[in-house]
Amino acid sequence: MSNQNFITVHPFALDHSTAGRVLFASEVGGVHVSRIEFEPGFELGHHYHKETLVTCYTGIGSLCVVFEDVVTKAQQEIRMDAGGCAIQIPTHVAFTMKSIGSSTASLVLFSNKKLNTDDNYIYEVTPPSDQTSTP
Amino acid sequence: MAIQNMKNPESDHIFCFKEDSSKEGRTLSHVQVGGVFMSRLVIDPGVVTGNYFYTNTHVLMSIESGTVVARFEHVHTKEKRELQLKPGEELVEIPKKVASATKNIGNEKAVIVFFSDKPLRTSEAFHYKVF
Repeated sequence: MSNQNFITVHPFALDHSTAGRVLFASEVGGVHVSRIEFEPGFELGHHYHKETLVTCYTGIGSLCVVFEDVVTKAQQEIRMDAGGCAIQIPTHVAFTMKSIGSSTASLVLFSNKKLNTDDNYIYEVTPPSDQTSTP
Repeated sequence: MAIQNMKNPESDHIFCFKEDSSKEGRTLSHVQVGGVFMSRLVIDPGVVTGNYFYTNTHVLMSIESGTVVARFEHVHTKEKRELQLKPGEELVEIPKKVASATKNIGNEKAVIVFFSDKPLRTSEAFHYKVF
C-alpha cells in the first residue's frame, strides 16, 4: 500500500528460473515495472504477447533485438545501446533479445500486465543474419 | 510491421532519449512514451544530484548500476529517510512535496532510472536541500 504522504519502497520480486538472466518485477498502481539482467551472450524472447504492451530500453550494456510481425512476417533487427532509444513493442510482434557486450546488460521495462505469464506465445524468430538463402 | 527502421529512429514505436549534460558530473536523459516520462541519470562517483521537490509530479526511481545513497524529506512534515540503493533491490515511489537527492558512493558511474507522470527538472521542480 502506498503512503501518499511519504516515500514507499516497493521491493522487486526476483525470478532466477532461467539460467543467464534474472527478472526483477514490481507493480505500482497497476503499472508493472521490471528489469532484466542479461549475462553476456544470453538470449531471451522467441515469443509474442496478445494483450501485454511493453515499453523498454537498455539500462546498461548493449542488446541486439530482432522483431517479427507474426502476421506479415516482416522483420526488423536493431541494436539497443544504453541510453539510446525506448521501444514500444506492439502486441502480435514477436521478438528475441541478445546481450552482445562483454559485461552484464540490463533492460528496463514497464507494461500493462505482469511479464512472463500466460500471455507469452512461443514464436521462433530467426534473425536475418542467421537465415540462409536457398538457390 | 509496426516497428520502423532504427537507423532513422523516431517512429510510432521508437522514442529516442534526449540528453542534458548541462551540469557537471551528471547526465540526464529523458524520453516520453505516451503519458509516461522515462529518465536515465548517470552520476559520476562522489557527485550529488537532485535536491528538488515537485508540487505535482509522481516519481518512481530505481538503480540500474552502482551504489547510491538517496535522501528524502517531506517539505512540510520534515519526515526524513535515507536509503542505500543497489540494482534490483527496490523501486522507490516518491510523491509530490517530498524532496530527494542522490549521491553516488561507489567508485564507478552510477545509473538511476526514473518513471514519472511529468518531465523531471521542469519549472515545477523546486530547490530544497536534503544532501
